[in-house]
Amino acid sequence: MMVMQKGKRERRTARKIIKLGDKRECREEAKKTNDLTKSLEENIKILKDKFVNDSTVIFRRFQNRYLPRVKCCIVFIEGMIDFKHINMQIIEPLMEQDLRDLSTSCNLLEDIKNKVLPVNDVEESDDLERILQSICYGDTIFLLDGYDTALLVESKGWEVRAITEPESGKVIRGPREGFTEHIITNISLIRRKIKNPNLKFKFMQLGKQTNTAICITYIEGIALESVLVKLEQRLNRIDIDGILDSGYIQELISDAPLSTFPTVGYTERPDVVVARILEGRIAVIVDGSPFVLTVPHILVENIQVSEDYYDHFIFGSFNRFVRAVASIFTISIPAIYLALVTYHQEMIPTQLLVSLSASLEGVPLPTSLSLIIMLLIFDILREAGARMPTAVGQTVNIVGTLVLGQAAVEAHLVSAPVIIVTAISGITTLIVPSLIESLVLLRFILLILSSILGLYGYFIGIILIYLHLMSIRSFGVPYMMSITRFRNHDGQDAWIRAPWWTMTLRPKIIGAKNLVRQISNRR
Amino acid sequence: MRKKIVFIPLPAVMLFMLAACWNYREVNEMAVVVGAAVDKGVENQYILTVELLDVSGGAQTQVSTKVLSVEGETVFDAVRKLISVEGKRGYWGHTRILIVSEEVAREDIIEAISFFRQDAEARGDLYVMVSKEYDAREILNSDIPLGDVLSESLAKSLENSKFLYETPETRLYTLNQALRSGKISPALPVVTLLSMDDKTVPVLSGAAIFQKSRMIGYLDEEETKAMLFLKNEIEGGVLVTKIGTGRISLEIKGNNTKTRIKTEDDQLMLDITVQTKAVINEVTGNPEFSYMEMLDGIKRLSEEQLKSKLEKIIDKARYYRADIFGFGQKIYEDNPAKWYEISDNYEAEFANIAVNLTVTVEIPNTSIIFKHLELGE
Repeated sequence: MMVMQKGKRERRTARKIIKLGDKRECREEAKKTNDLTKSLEENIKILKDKFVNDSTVIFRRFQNRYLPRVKCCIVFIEGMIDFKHINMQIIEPLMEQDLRDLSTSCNLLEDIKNKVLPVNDVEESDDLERILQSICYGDTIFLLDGYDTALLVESKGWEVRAITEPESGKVIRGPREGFTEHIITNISLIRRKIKNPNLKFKFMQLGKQTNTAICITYIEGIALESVLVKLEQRLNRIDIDGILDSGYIQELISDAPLSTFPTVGYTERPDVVVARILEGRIAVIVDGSPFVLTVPHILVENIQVSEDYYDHFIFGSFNRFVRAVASIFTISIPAIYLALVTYHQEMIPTQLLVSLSASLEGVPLPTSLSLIIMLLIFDILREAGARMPTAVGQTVNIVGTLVLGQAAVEAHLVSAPVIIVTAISGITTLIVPSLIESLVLLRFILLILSSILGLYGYFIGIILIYLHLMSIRSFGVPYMMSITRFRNHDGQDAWIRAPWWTMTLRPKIIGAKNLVRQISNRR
Repeated sequence: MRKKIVFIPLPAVMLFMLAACWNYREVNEMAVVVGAAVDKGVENQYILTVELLDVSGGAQTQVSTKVLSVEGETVFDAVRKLISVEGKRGYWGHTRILIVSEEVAREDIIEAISFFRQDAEARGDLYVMVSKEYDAREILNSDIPLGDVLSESLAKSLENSKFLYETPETRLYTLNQALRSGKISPALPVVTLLSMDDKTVPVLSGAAIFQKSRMIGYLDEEETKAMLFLKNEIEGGVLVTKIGTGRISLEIKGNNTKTRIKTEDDQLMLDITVQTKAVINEVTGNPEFSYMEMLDGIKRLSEEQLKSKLEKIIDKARYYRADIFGFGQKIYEDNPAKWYEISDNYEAEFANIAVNLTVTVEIPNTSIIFKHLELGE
């Protein structure tokens, strides 16, 4: 009885809180309409109320030397602004310049905006919400006594990371710049590569608390409208507290969020983004994240590396083939080895069987269990290595290779072939970094299936994976596009990288709006 | 819709039911049988002798074999009794050879091979051979001429017999086919023991020929080669032609034997043409020919001698009433109606069949030095 009562009370309080929340929201809405007044002091008070308990917000009052009745105040947040800029371009002209000839003007604020402030971006606004956001985003607010509007003066200036070579997707040949956390820098990196007015940037703000800026980038006339509309719909639907990385958005706009295969692409490299935009894709840049998203994203993009296009096409094709084979190997090798050794011994050549049975002699664990354990240990090492400081990382390597590689075999804890299989499978996972998330899990699923059913289990798994891949789409584009067909221009950029003079068309569906990329360059 | 959902797990369930015999089994838990031998013991018991792989592991793999003999009512009975001796279940997926003793073969070879034919593990491509003069188990117990595993080395030498063409390369499935069709009599390789220095090693020699499933006689190496000529299975090997006291070795570069069936007045007639391409490889003695004479002479002599060999083997097969050349198959392919007419009494029919044999030996080129080495004065 008591428990029930308690439960009821809890439910009731919860209901109350929800009601209260509603009320609070209502009050906030009411405040929004409560805009600035004509009195400077009151305006300052309104803003101070808003930023109560935040001492990084600085209110600086001053007057003009020649026209002391021009009382004004600038508001900005320390750390978000460029001090030199504020001193030289905002305070100095307003203090030192002779404003007497403006004294007769009917709209002093307008004149200050037009004739006094030597700043590139000044905006007039009376929307309190907009003003608050501007302050938070590094603008300086200029308030003038006697006016109920404020000037939003651009003064952003915070420490940004320099453009460095990205950690992921390193190349031997090709541009070495990578995106940073600063959205404007990232946009400039893209803009620098496509000098074309058709390149469009559409800004949005997402995240109720963080107000994160995101930017949709595409080339008008190449990108598909249907994809753009879908993307905007999905972005508008997002109702989230905060966005700390583009990964949030990737998950929220993905077609198959339960699938471990990525249906939204991401990259740290501007050249990759530009190449994808040129093929008709749309990029989403998120402030604060060096990873730019691209949609639609199909499976074959995972094995396309920017360097393929910079190297000789035969070498590029070979590398791509290696990547494709490796990603199949990484999920198959442990499962097939297990199936052969424990179910289908007749498929092993006699000589190999002899050496296998010799190495298995005296090993206590069954092959299936030792494979699963070794693969788990490999993943533990991988995860440990990823988070460790570089100095400690080496220790992990040594411990991993020595302890697992040699000592375990010599102590007869696992057999040598299991180590070899784990090593091959582990190395081949790393070859396609964007697929690691799915391949690591699939490897275990296939391994377990084949430990229960042998090769039958393995093939059931492969068939299910294939069906899954065939069933998903990314923004209306089939995920397996151009992998399953070899005709015409379907296959020219999938299993191989065709020479540039033959790649006259953009990929099907994605580039359908403007299919012809170039006329043939063959002499 | 509900119906459709029911159908989704159906393929998965069916996979379980339609899958063949398999089970989770670790490699080191099975006794790999590489070779087997079947003998007849007392009171109609079968003695199964197996050669098992005995691998000791670790960094250095050491392979040796163990030979065990078990007695049983049937071969399969003996196979299962093996567990009590060895402790592990035998694994037959890697068995290379099956040796059947002459005694068993003369009685009925089907008894000995039916386990290997019907078992899921045993392969169809294992070699079946007959042991001559010795028991089959003595062959498996003999010394290993090369390598670590006797069965392996026997299987290898049978595989390499293609450079010799003196033993038929008969696998279990060819034997099965021959036995089932009745249009060809099987011929199995013969293995016997040879004393070399202080070792006794198995050697292959000739063939054992069967009528239906019973062994009826042996062929020596020369006869075996002649049989292979008529079966059109020769692709290489050596043809030795006698010229007076000298000998000339011809290396066979290719052979094509065509067997045509003619029916004249309801009488079957076989028209066999043997066309052999060979080059002169070795000349001993001192045949006194000029170059052109020599080529012509060698060609004529080789043809004559090969033809007489072929005729001899046909006569021998007729005597045994065993159609080891597969003429029955040819008749069936050419004239099925005729085959069904004579099939009931084919042995007798075969003994009286008329054969017209044409042999041509073509010598397209010779070695550069074709004359015998002459001693200086």
